[in-house]
Amino acid sequence: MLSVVIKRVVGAIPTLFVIITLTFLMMRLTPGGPFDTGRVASPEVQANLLHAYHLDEPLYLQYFRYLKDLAQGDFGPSFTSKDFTVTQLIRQGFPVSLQLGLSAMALAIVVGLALGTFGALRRNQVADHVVIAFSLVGIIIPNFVMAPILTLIFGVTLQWLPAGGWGNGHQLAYKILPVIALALPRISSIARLSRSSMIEAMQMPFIRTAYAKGLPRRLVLLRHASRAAILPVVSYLGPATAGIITGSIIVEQVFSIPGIGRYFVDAAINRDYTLVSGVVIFYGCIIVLFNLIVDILYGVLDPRIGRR
Amino acid sequence: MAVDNGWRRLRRNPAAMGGLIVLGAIVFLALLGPCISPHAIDEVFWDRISAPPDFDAGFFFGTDANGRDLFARTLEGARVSLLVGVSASVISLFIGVTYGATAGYLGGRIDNVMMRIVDILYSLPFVFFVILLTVYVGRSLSTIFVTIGAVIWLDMARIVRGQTLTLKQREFVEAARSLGATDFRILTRHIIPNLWGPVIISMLLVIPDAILTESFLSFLGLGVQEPNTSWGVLIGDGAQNMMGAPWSLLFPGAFLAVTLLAFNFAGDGLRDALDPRS
Amino acid sequence: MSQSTPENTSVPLLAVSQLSTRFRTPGGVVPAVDDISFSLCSGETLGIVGESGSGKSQTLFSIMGLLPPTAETSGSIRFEGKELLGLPPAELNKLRGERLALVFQDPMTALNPYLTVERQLSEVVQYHHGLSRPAARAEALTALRRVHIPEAERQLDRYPHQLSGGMRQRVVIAMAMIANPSLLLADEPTTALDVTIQAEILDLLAEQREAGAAIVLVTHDLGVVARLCDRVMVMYAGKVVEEGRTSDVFRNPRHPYTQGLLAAIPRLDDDIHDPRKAIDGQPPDLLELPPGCAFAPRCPLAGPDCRVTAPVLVPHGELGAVACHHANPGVRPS
Ligand SMILES: Nc1ncnc2c1ncn2[C@@H]1O[C@H](COP(=O)(O)OP(=O)(O)OP(=O)(O)O)[C@@H](O)[C@H]1O
Ligand SMILES: [Mg+2]
Repeated sequence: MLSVVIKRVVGAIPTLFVIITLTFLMMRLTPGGPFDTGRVASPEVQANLLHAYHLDEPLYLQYFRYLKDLAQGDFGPSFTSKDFTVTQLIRQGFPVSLQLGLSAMALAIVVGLALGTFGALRRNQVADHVVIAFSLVGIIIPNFVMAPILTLIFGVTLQWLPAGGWGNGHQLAYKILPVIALALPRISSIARLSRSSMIEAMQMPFIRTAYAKGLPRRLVLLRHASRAAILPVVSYLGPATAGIITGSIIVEQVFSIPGIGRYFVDAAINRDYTLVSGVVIFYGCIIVLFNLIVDILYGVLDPRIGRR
Repeated sequence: MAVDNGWRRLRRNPAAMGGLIVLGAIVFLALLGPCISPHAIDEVFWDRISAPPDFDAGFFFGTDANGRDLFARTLEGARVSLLVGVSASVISLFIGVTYGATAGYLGGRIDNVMMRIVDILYSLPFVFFVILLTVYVGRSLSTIFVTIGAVIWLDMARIVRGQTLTLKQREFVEAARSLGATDFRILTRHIIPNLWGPVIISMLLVIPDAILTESFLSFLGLGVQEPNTSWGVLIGDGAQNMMGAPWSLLFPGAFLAVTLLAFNFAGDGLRDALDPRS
Repeated sequence: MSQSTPENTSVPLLAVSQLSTRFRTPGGVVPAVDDISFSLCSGETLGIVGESGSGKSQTLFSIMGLLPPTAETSGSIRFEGKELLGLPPAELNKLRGERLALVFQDPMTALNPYLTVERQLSEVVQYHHGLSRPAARAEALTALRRVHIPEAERQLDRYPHQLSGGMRQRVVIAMAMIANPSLLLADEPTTALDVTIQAEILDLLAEQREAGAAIVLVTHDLGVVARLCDRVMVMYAGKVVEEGRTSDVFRNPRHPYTQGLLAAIPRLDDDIHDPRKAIDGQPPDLLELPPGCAFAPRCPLAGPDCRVTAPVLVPHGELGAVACHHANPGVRPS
């Protein structure tokens, strides 16, 4: 088991490396990029940048310095703001984004699995068709259409919930709509996936064995089919994380939530190169980390992997 | 042979045929947009700011917050979105087919390394790199489809590689090799021309992906810029303006959703038709 | 049939009569099991033989109520005096795994790859006998020892993929026997195993029979039938073509199909360069059965009558029956 974990961790390193290197190279080498002289905003910022990046040194030294700073959690100064560093901005936004993202992920897993399993058990009946239609809706109506529509219906027209903002961070009402908007596409994908994997699992020969033992349907499902059915869903959680992060950019924008996504969009619009790069690397790390957790979880759930 | 069979299966699949017909209709509307819509896309009607749909005056979808006709703008959005989808997928087609066919054909260690690179790129959050690119390179329409195309070729490369691996073992390739054909010639004359089936299927998957990415960027203001428009731009404007004028959100949103649905059905149907095993 | 014989006047453990199982498929209705009747008393062993696709497994699945929803079953299956067809699931579940159990044909796929051997064994007794987890574990260990698994204790916590084919087959058998069922349905328990393990598994079944269980043994291997079974039933295209005491049928096969099967058994004195005298041709497609006898197209004795009317099973002697217009009348055993 431990060897599997180590193998996965080692396997994740190249990905992380590629993300950082690509970002670094883009920042340094793109014509018209931030270090092309004559484009830099104010003298103070320029001084900050020169100080932080040692632009007078050769490229490879700059690269190693960059790696070293990153390893210490230092993402460098912001390109447009002289008051905050990138690290400070990320630290401010991250708790909010994390709460939003994790809640949406949890909701998506619970509701998605429930819907998918329900559809599979009522295969080709009305309930199943409803599940299929629902999962299609989440896939064809993207976040950036769904989020405003939800605001319009529940925030503006019915006025059941706040149409935007994050409250003081402890008010549930502010979180409901954003979490739902963020979770919907993942609910659909998970429902779709778990429905088909449940149907497939129910046709495995060992399910017949379980029935032959006299186990009631409930036990056959919970103990025997669910294990096989959950694996494709688990491996989907990696891509789902990437999807949630992408979606959170939209949702934070639509609901004016002070998370990383908002800073990211503002930075991209204002061409705050260092902040955009920092956030990309940060997001990259989160995705790599989640993929790692998912891989390990998969190894735990499937005894054929890892153990002899 | 297999092609006829595929056609017959496709024609018997109502969802897929429906999808293809809807796609045809959307392409038709997009191309003929300027001829069909009574108003120009940038004409400002000061007396009709955020006005609801009005059939008599020819404002079928109403107007936006700047008093411009939404019907004309939605059709223009369709042109841009489809253009982005098609160009990005053509770019990804070139990269993906070249990369995938090379990896599959050469095989062995080279194939391993090449596919490992694809795996790594696959796990990257590619939308962020598109954003990064638009930040560095600037936000023009051509940047957008080149960057989108440059990051969504991975699926194509995987599919093409798999197909190449099986093609490589077929008799006609063996025959060409025994006649002394070079690797390059075998690849370009015998392998790539036989890849069209899986390639068409993956095109149908890549186009909606590209359209979605473009809309995402444009919604955030990072994509297509005024005075150009696209569904993403319209949905973004509509979202800002939805309290007074919900139609400005709903019409472009509906077009996008219907297009994605049609691609979904057509893609699934085509896959079943060409590859009944999966 | 067997009910009428003097020694079987007691109520049989299992009485199957006019059992038919059909599958609805896009291509039409597949009559996988067609009008089969037999009965079995405690301590008896019935062998079912026939080529691949003749309906052996589906017969067992019909008895166990393990058919997919596309299947339709008719007839009657009485087990311990209770009609199994149409029994509510809850009642059927009380019997399955406890009173009647099935040994699956393919041990590679019959075990759940995600659960340990212990979990898969002990859940049977946990569920049926309400045992606690430790008590069930002890039972599981006993069951493994009974099938002579080496290092039984260690195997308990392993997963199926960590076991060899022979070990898995034994686990499957242990699973079927753990609750001491009175009827054991064994579907080719020895196929895909090497000869020494085959012999051990057969010994296991024999032990089980000595303990009083009735066994239905499905197999391709006529040698196994000769060793273990009191009676044998020969199936072809979903129908019974011949049945009788094993010794009678083997000594004096009446149906040309049975004769063909017996002739195809390799013997020690066979010239190894001489291919086995297997029956020519393929079993028929169940969707396009010929109007008369299903075996007629392959039958050396088939006449015009065989292609028009299907023969019915005609009893002869004490326990025998054959369905053939040209059945070998048989030499009366002295
Ligand atoms: N779900 C199903 N749908 C349609 N036909 C089926 C189904 N299951 C089994 N059959 C058909 O029923 C027939 C009998 O199958 P069965 O599994 O009983 O054969 P068998 O005698 O056990 O053969 P083998 O020796 O290969 O195990 C076969 O022709 C098979 O194709
Ligand atoms: Mg069978």
